[in-house]
Amino acid sequence: MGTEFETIEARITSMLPQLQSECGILQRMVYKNKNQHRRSSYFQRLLKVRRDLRLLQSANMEELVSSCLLVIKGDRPKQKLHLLGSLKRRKCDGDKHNFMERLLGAARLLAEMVEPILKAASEVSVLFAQSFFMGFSVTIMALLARLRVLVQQILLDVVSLFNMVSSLSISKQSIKITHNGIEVFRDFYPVSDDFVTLECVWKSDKFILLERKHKTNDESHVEDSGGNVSVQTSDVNYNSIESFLGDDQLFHERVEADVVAKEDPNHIDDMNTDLLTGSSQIDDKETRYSDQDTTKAFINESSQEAGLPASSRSSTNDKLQSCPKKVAFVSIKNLTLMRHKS
Amino acid sequence: MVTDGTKKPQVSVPTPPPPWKINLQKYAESRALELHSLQSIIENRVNSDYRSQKNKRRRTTVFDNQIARKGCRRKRQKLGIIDKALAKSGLEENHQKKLPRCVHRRYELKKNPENGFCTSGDVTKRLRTHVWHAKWFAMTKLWGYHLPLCLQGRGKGSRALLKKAQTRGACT
Repeated sequence: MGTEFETIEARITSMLPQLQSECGILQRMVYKNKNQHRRSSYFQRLLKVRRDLRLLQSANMEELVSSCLLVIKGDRPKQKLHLLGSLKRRKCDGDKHNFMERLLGAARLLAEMVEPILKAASEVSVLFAQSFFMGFSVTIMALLARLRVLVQQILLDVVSLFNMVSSLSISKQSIKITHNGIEVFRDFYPVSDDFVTLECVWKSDKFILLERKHKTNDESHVEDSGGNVSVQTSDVNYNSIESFLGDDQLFHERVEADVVAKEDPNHIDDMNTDLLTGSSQIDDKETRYSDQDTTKAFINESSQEAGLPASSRSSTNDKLQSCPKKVAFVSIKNLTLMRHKS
Repeated sequence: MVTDGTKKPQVSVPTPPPPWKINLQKYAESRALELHSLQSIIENRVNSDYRSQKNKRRRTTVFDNQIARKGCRRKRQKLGIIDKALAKSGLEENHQKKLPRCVHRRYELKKNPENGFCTSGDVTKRLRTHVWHAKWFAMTKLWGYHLPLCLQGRGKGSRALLKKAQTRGACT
């Protein structure tokens, strides 16, 4: 799987610039030869090919492919979470379509593009047969041949990327975000909706795109999510609290280093983290308890940071810091007891 | 807010401009494999019949849209203009004099009815072939008809000139 998507990534990142350059050459050819050929039927076919290429450029394939690769790789967890979260929005939520829907539209366009290319090539081959305008017809045939191959290969790669991302968006996963030495686990639970898989079928001289809708099993989904929620959150929370209690001296040293190197971007980052937690509460209603714990942890951190600049009152600050830790510890025990009862 | 914060401005890489000149042979040879596969597909589609379809052929003067443009002067338009003028005002002596003879003769020829005779200015009748005969023969009016004399010429050729010269005694 890893090697597969890596080859797809390498291939598609090399093909998209080639497609751009071929599109530029076609537009220049159309611009130069429009006065002489504009009424003929082969030139009308060429204009349709150019129209499809312009549509494909406006679809902005590079952005779509890069966001798909972010979801598949997972090397930037924040962006991966943002992209997976955006998949839960439906079309009617706003004007924007999420990247999977845009990718589906691009795949449909790529499937439709092959037919005008073949018709234009058959018309230009009539010019070849009559040996009219040999320079023009040779260039156009070479262009269309390369375009056909590029379009079909990009279609195959886009379809496989789409299937990978859709299978990832269906499955449950927990994503680890590390920010300034603090680890946060975000859980992603898919919406139980129909999902689409794409398939390409070769038919006589081109690929035809087939879309299939599948339904997720609601019962097994609910059971699995219920089971995994308690296990994952309990493990995560216990580890994090023990790390706080166990490494007091190291934490103090880190905090002092942060105080020395305090700057504005730190504030900006803190604001971003707060916003992320806010959005997480909105998105994940099922995991209110774990999110409340994380928000309490953030509140503790912020209170500690606020208390730190007054270094003269170190003893009183230590006493103040010890109290919220106990409260957090006690609250987690209460939560676990409540879960056992329910 | 989160989306605005996390989104980075994606500066698209500027695509290089298309080449000013293309070496045609190198361009085609570098795409030889694609060209061969495309050619085989088209051959299968067209059943190796590369003739242009008859309904898609165009006249060679389809580029000439000068007839539609009024500013350009050509013989065709002059004829058209004169015809329009004739149609409007009908036959008048002024217009009749201004018309060239061929146009006038054509117009007279159109006035032939399918049956019987048409009448000239005075009430003599004209044959159906009056226009042609009037070009080649001297015409007289006999028995109420406008008839050709069937003599050679109308008095303007070389023979007529020779006759006139002999009667006056110009030679010797």
